[in-house]
Amino acid sequence: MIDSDVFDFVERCRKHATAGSLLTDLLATVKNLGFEHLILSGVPLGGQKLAPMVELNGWPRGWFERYVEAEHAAVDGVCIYSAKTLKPFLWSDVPAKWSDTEASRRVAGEATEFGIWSGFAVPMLSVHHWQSVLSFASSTKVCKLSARQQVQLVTMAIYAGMTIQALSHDDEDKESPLTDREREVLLWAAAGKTSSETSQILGLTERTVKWHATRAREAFGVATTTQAVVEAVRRRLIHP
Amino acid sequence: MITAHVVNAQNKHLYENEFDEFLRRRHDFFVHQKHWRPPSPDGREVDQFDTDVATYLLGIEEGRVVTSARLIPTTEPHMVSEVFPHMCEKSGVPRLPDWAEWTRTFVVPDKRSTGLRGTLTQLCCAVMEYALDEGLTAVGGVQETYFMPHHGALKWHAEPLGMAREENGEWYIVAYIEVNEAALASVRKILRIEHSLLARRGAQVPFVHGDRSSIYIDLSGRHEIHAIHQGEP
Repeated sequence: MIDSDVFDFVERCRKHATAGSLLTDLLATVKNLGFEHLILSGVPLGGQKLAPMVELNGWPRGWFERYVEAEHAAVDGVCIYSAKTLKPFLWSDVPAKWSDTEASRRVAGEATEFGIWSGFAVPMLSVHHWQSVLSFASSTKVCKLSARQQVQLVTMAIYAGMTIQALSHDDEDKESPLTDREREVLLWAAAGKTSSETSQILGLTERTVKWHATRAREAFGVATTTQAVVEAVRRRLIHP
Repeated sequence: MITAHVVNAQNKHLYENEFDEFLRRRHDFFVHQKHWRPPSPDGREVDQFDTDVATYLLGIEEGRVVTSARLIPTTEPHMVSEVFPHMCEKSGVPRLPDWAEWTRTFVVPDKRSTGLRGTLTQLCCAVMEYALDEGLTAVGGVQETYFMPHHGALKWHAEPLGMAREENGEWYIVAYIEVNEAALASVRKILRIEHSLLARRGAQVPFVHGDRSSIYIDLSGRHEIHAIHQGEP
């Protein structure tokens, strides 16, 4: 692959109006570097479901279904490591602490049934999730990338990531599930304040504070205020 | 919401305290957090590009400098031309009066939420507004690849001048963001604002028409800037 192929891809990114056309283009382009499959997704944390976080799904269909069904994300070393590093990495370079567990080895073994043996991952900022990762998968047993090929892949990955962020409209018009008051009450709860203390801080009655907390719990469909705080942080509605 | 004060060689004396705070925050960030620069005994981070040709946007909120940007004409020596020229293999080092290099951006830790309406986006909005005001057509420079999707989220277009690459364990790319009305409109829409984030106090120096003897003076205190061209017919 020559550099101008990469810059041509970057140029085409501007014209992609849908995630689907971007995915098709990226898959066709990285095939020249030996990658048949790819996935761009938010990195799930603490039991978050993977499926709603996926932004480009170029995995073999059966594999994606099995991965989600079996909740592999929670044990897959590549997925776990994707939340812990900001730097692009070869799957084979994931530290043994995460890749050499029995469960992670099992995930890697199952992947080979779908022609996925090795890969390269590019973590990047996401405005919706903890962070995102674009993971490229290869059917070769050992992913051999020259230094130049890595550079080419990272460049394409970040432009794909930029394009996906530009295509998402969900932040624009969607109302926040929480009111400003509800967010404020959750923020003070996150800081360890009781309803009574929060009521003094905000100059509200304790009953009103509790009412806002209840509304916040209802908004997320959770039972406790602690869960509501966790959910609000996870959705980046509050930043304690 | 921040107010971004435009600070240059002509009005720097009005910002002595803020500028010193800015240099200390830079030291916190670029020395202690990023380890890009060696510690300085006085706790201020200054590099060879802090000269009179630089224009700074100091993002001030509740009396604190919470974020910043430094803009340097690419016709002057700048970080890409002096340190990273090898990263412009596609297009060469830009040397255009209406292209500004954007460096030295930090956000203080307690304002570093990654939500799209946070301090970083406000600073981006201020930079875009300033760039448009000054007739620039592109702003950019060496950037961490990790953060590039933020430009996408603002619906900004950034042209790479070369390939991303790893230097000292981190990945960077040289890219320039297109300056236009649409880019300002989209970031303002995200922030849900229609007003200016810039404050211009004292003497102003036009960024592009680099005759640095001609000084703009802001007579109104805010928006309407009247030019007083010294020594011109």
